[in-house]
Amino acid sequence: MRSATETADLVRRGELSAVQSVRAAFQQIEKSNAKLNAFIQLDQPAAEAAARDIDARVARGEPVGPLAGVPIGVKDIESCKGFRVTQGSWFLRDSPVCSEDSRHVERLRAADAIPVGMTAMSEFGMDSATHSALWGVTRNPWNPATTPGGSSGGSAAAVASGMVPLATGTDAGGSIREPAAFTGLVGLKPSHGRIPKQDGFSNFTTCGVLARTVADCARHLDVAAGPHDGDRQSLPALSYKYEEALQTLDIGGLRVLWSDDLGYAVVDPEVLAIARAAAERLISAARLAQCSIDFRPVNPYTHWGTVMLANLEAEWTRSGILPDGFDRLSKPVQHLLELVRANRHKMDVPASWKQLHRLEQQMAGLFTKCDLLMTPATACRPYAADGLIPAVVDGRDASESGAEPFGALVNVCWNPAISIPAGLTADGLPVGLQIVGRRHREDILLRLARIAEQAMPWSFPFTV
Amino acid sequence: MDSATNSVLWGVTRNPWNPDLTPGGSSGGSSSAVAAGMVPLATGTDAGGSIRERAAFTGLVGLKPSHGRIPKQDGFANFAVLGALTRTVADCARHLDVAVGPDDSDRQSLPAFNQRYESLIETLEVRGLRVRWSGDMGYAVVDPEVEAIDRGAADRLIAAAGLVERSVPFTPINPYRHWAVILLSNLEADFTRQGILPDGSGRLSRPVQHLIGLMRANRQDIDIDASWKQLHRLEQQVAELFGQVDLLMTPATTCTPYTADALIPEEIAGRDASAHGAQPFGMLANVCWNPAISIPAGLTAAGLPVGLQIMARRHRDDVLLRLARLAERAKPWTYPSFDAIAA
Repeated sequence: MRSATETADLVRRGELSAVQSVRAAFQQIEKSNAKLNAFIQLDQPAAEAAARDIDARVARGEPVGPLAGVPIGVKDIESCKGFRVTQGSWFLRDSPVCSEDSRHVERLRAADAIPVGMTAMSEFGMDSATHSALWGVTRNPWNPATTPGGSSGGSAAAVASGMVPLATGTDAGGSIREPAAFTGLVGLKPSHGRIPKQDGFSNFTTCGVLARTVADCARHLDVAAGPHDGDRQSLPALSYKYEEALQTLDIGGLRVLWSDDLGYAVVDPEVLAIARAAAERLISAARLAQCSIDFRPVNPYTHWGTVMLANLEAEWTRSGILPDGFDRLSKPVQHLLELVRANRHKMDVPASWKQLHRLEQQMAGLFTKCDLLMTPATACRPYAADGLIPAVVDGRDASESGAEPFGALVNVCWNPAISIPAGLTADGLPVGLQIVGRRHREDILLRLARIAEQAMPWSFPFTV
Repeated sequence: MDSATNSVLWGVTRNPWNPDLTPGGSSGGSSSAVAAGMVPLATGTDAGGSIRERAAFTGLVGLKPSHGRIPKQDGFANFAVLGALTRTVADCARHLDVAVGPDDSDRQSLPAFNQRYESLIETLEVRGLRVRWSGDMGYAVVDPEVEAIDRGAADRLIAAAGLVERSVPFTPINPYRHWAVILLSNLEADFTRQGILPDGSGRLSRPVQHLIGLMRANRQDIDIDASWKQLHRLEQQVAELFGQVDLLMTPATTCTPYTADALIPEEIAGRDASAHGAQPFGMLANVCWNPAISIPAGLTAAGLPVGLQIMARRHRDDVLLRLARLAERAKPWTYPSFDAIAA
């Protein structure tokens, strides 16, 4: 499969037709989607019509955008013209067909990307894997018995299997980075506010994309970033292009802290060793300076969960899901609801907010002493495709940290973070390295990812 | 928690233009100090108009910067920003140049601004920017004298700056009640947790006691989720406006400075103003994170200052300061000798 940048550059020069590009995507989808369940809605005629329009503009010598003719997947949480948004939920199965794009998709389409379909996600984004009562089990192309992660699991499976070079994701606690790690992709959670959302009242969620190459990730961000009047959290415009910073930014001498577990996570030793070795290679290749700081932040897992979920039962009762719809909820969501019910009496929302405020100050303290934080991207390797978040990792209790204990930190603090391929386990499953940067410095993360890609190129050595 | 400044601990703060009247609140002490010439610059905070109303009531320049422009102690505020009250636009700009910039401990803080506001107030090109004037936003009762003075000041500034007035449709929701519900609905619970209530009620200042009474009386009508929804709507309404114009001008307040130890007026020009109080144009910018400034617009027949509010697209604090500077040059404002206050 061609990368997004290769495809767009060929289409812009008239050397590849957008229609061919779209057809190639559908060939791969035809070949492997039945097995992987990455896409849950598709529209080939609409995609080909959009492609023909791009080809006609190229033929007339008119300008086309930086994602010209690039087929993309859109996560089932973002509005996309012609498709329904179900958020993986039976309760939204009859939602109306979208007549408008989300602000994010609108920018991608304006850059002449072509949405070919909607990708599967865990129900309401509430899981680290992707299997829902409505759409079934989504599988990892590296090993279909395992999960591609969640909540953006369909997007990860679609890109890793070569159906499309880019698919959108959202990340409120790791939902772009964990799927990227589980499928050997590049997954950037940008700084909060970098890509505009539908409103500016979100505490944790950002939009982003899953990509195979760092250049594709950078080009996506160049297209998607920038302020929007309708999102009060959106950041001012940038004066540079990520795609250039990727090649030229000087980062030698930046100080980096490696942490195995942030003092609270239970991590699979093989995953840890692979991520740590990749970090060391990258530190050396990029000439970073390693520092040793005793960094033991608050474990945000429970507090972040409390803030998000304490009122779940009341909200779902108001929206009519409960009490009668319990059986229609996906298995992981039923499990979560039961956990909330069992622990509701212990959940103290103001106290949890206080802990998240503390975490913000702890992270600020860290970034006065160093520029980067590296950790494993996940606590474990890809687990069973239809399984629950492991409560035990490496024989130890992981119920207070789960599969992605390093995720929520940056969602709380609005920092950018990226997961890049770190290597493979003995049984051939991908592991991710997470790099966290200071706020607003996605350029540094992308530059580092590019240096890693050059120093230890990754590939997708399988056929699905 | 008040549009005047009148507390049990520190007593009544008065307006140097007329000591019977309030300098506004909550930053009322700051505005009095600057207006009376004690200090040229005093800090303020603004979660619903607290810098701008003070500036208006005392004839000062009061900028509420874009949310995140000046770092706070943490990054979890929905509405509150820091700023300053000054007599001159140059002072306001220099304060901002000193105070702005990102801080790791405030997740909402904006990236560094690579220009100097103090130079931009003399050089920024603003000619041709489109402005929408609104006398009442469709929901407020405004003292006719205040509105007339503001409309006159807006006309002068539009002419002096070469702005273009546009009458695009704009009927935003009235955020007053929803904003208050969100800020205050947990007030009683918070005060109880902190040990202020139930025993300390008598130690609270009268306006705060009044507010708690209001919240208790209206508890059954309070729906926080519904109020949040209305503020989300407001964000999109303001976005739509700024898709069509660059600036919004309104009066800074609905009334002239009122009695120094009184409560927020519930009646203005003989009409019911209980749905919005003294500063209904303030919180729009706090909810939507836009910058807004109040500049002196002129004096009432009784010699009291009136403020003109200008609101800009997000992050365009520079445009507001440039316009304020043009207004200052076109019709300089002055301060009477306040020596009489000392007597």
